[in-house]
Parts: sequence; structure tokens; C-alpha cells
Amino acid sequence: MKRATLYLGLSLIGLVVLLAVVGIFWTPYSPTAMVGPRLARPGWPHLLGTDGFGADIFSRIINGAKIVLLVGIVSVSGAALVGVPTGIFAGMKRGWAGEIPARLADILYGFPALLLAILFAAALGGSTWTAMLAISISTVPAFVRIARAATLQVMSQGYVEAARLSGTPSPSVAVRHVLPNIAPVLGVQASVSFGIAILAEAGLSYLGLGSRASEPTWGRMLREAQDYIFSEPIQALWPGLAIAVATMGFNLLGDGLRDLLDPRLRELR
Amino acid sequence: MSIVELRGAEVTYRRAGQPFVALHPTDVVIEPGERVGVVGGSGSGKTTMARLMLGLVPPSQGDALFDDRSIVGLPERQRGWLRARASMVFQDPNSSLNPRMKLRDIVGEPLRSPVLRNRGDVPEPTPEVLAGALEGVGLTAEMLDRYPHQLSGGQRQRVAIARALISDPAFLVADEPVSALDVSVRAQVLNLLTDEVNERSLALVLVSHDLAIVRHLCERVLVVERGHIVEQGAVADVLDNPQHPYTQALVDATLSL
Repeated sequence: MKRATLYLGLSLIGLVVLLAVVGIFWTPYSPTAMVGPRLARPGWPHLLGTDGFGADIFSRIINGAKIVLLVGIVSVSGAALVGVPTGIFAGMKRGWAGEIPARLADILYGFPALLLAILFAAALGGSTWTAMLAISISTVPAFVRIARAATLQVMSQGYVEAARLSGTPSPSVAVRHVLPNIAPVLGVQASVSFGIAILAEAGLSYLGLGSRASEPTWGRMLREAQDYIFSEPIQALWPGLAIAVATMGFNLLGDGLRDLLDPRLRELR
Repeated sequence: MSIVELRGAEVTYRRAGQPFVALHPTDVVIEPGERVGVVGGSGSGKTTMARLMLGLVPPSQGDALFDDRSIVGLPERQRGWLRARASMVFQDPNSSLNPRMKLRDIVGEPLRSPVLRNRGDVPEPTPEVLAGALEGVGLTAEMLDRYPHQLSGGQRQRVAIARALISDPAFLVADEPVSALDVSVRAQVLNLLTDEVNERSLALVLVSHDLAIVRHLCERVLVVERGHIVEQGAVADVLDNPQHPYTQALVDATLSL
């Protein structure tokens, strides 16, 4: 099937979104309370069993989906809000004024996201919001780069020259010509960044730099499951699986969108 | 009073780190309403010359004037008088029309430009005005809501012409306006361009490698080879009785086809 990647990605994301939406209104048990025996195996009434504190794992997974999507949406849209205008500016402006933001983005690109997050956690205390801020900042350069590269390509098109020749000011060129034509590339980047953000948040929570104990995220669950990795390895399976499904969903969506939007591939269809 | 003037204008590009002179110091004067063909092979510098006249490339020395004012070294926002009265038809309508804009917005774009609005005599981009612009180039008003990919190549170039003329310019540059089109529609688009240029008594610079088109549309011709104007004069004189070997070669090449 030609768009298998796209549809598989969408269904995996759909699953996570469904869990998150359900999680807003209802979870089988409270995700943070002790509701059963400790370390129960999967079964009834605890579908995926209980963790080391006796909390229901299924409820915690549902609740984690909510936080994962929140982290993804906030950090990716924050990064895009800063990175896309900067990238467009860098692509449209000739000379040093366009070079400076591009080079700054390159420098930031080389700075490890994890280090940044540790820095933030040390300064502001570890929380979901600190993690989001750190992920967001480290995602900005990717958007600057891709927006700049795509803008440079659009700027060489005749319609931009035609707009200039009729005296259309740069901001109008950016909004009318550049943005609509680079939007597909940005969509792909957003999807891929979303996957990376989920992974980054899980990593930060695992290290204890993300969410607090009151907010059970998948990364945090993984960290707690680590204590029982030899006696009850299945504990680590569920959050690990959830992270894999969500990350893969967004990566597949990104790949699928890229295939769909690539004009060369579209010609062939 | 001339409308366009190049005074010893030279254009240099950097190619692979080496400076490359695309146009050697050149003097050209174009009078209002005059139709000038610029012919030459590919890479001869003919397009560079046209782009220089519109301020799309800066000269490395010399001066370029529009309405007797220098356009060189000015930021875009100080070129209002040039932008308000000069426009261009590009070679490839696939690239010169934004694929994500409806014809309504493409054709109306010049009318929304602040420098044109300053001119005072420019109509508002109302549906009637836009429909009139499309009808003026042989398209229909219901096409206003279409996108460029829904048109044929010839129709697209008509849209590009409508956009170039909607601001009622005094000077038009046409860079190979029909060479990207099917042979079957070339004549129609060319006739449209001829009619419009005659009707509006536009000053025209037609860049072309096709001598027949230049003969059809222009009064005067400049023959460009490797960045030099090697021959110029009235179309009939130059093309019927070429003096320079390069011009003779161009004419012979056309005849042998």
C-alpha cells in the first residue's frame, strides 16, 4: 500500500490521543493512589497489573499519555513559534543580518539538549514545565534551519521576484509567498520533533529531571520499574511500549507526510 | 527624456570563487514607448542586462537609471518610483506564479502594493477590476478562483501578463516570454503581448534568442555576445544585413531551421 507509513503513523498517534482524551475525564483507578496489592501481575481487575506502590499501571499509562501529548504540543509549538519566524527572516535577509540568526542556531544545535535540561533542572527545579522549556529551546535550532533552507529555496522562485517587482514589502512576501510554500516542510519537521520531544521527556523523567512523583509520566514509570527489572521485568514493558508507540507514530507520520508532499514522488503517482 | 538608461554599467558575478563578468561596461538608452529586442545565445548576458534595468542585480560599476534617477545602491523601500512603473513577464509561468495562490490574489497582488497605492491612479483590487484584467488577456472571470495548476501553460503565461499589466506600467521587461510554452500557443501569447504593448505604448525590453519574435515585436535590436553589445540598430537593418559575425551566425541559424 502506498501510504501505509502515513496511515500506520496516524493510527498509532490516534491510539495515544484516544488514551489521553479518556485520561482527561476518567481512569479506572487513581493513577497515584495505592489501589491494590503491590506488584500484581496483569489480570483482573488491574489489566496491566500494579506497580511497586500498588498503583494501577493501566491508569498510570492513560494518565501519562495526557502528559506526553501536552509536553509534545507545548514544546514543539513553542519551538516553532520562535524558530520559524527566525528561520524565515534568516532566509530572506541577505548579508550579515541573515547570517547571524543562522549561525546562532547552529551553535545552539551543537549544545546537547540533555545538558541544557540538567542546567534548567538545577536552576529551576525539576518539573514537567522545566523539561518542556528545555526541550523547546533545544528544538528551536531545527526549526530555524529547516525554515531557512526552505525559505532560500522559495526566494529563488519567480513569484517572489514578481512580488518584489511590484513593490510588495518583505513582511507581505513572507506571509503570502514564503510561509504557505514552506508549510509542508515545517509540518514534517513538527511531526519528527514531536517524536523526539516525547523521547526527550521520557529520558528526562527517567533521570529525575522531569515530572515529579505526583505526575506519573512514562519516563518516570520506567525509572520506578527499574528497581524490579530482574524480578518483575514486565513492569518496564508497559511504559517502554507506550513510549515506543508514541514516538514511532510521530516518526512514521513525518515520513509519510514527506513522501506525500515530495513533488518528485507525487509526479510518479 | 529617456525612461531607462545604463551608463557604463558592468555586472560581475562570483562563480566558483572567481569573479566572472556577465556584462561588460555597457551604455543603453531606451526612450518611452520604444520597443527594444535583446538577442544573444544562452549565457551571453542578455538576461543580466534586463535584470539590471529593474534593479534585480546591482552593477559592479557604472550606473542604471529609471526616469533619469539612479536605481543603484538604494534599499528596496526607496525604489517606489521604479516599482510603481516597471514590471516584468518571466520565462517560466510555473515558477513565476505562486502555486498556493488563487488567480484572484496573483493578479491583484500589484494593486495591493503600497508603492502603487501611492501613485494614486491605481484601481482598488475589486472583483470587477480583477475580472477585467483576466478578460483583457483572453481568460474568463470565473477563473479567478482557480489555482495555477488548474490552467494550461499558455493560460498561465496569460495570467503572468495580466499581473504585469494590471498596474498600468510604462516599462515592461519580457524575458523569453514564450520559450517555455508549447509551439501551438506561442503565437497566441505573442499576439496578446504585441496588442497590449501597442495599445498601451509601453516601453519594452524583449529578451529572446528567437530573432523572429524580435522582428515581430521590436523596432530596435541589441545583439549581445559574451557580455558585450556587438551590434545594434533598427531591427530591419541589423537582421537583414548583419555586419558582425556573431549576428550573421544568429541569423543563419534561424534561416536554416
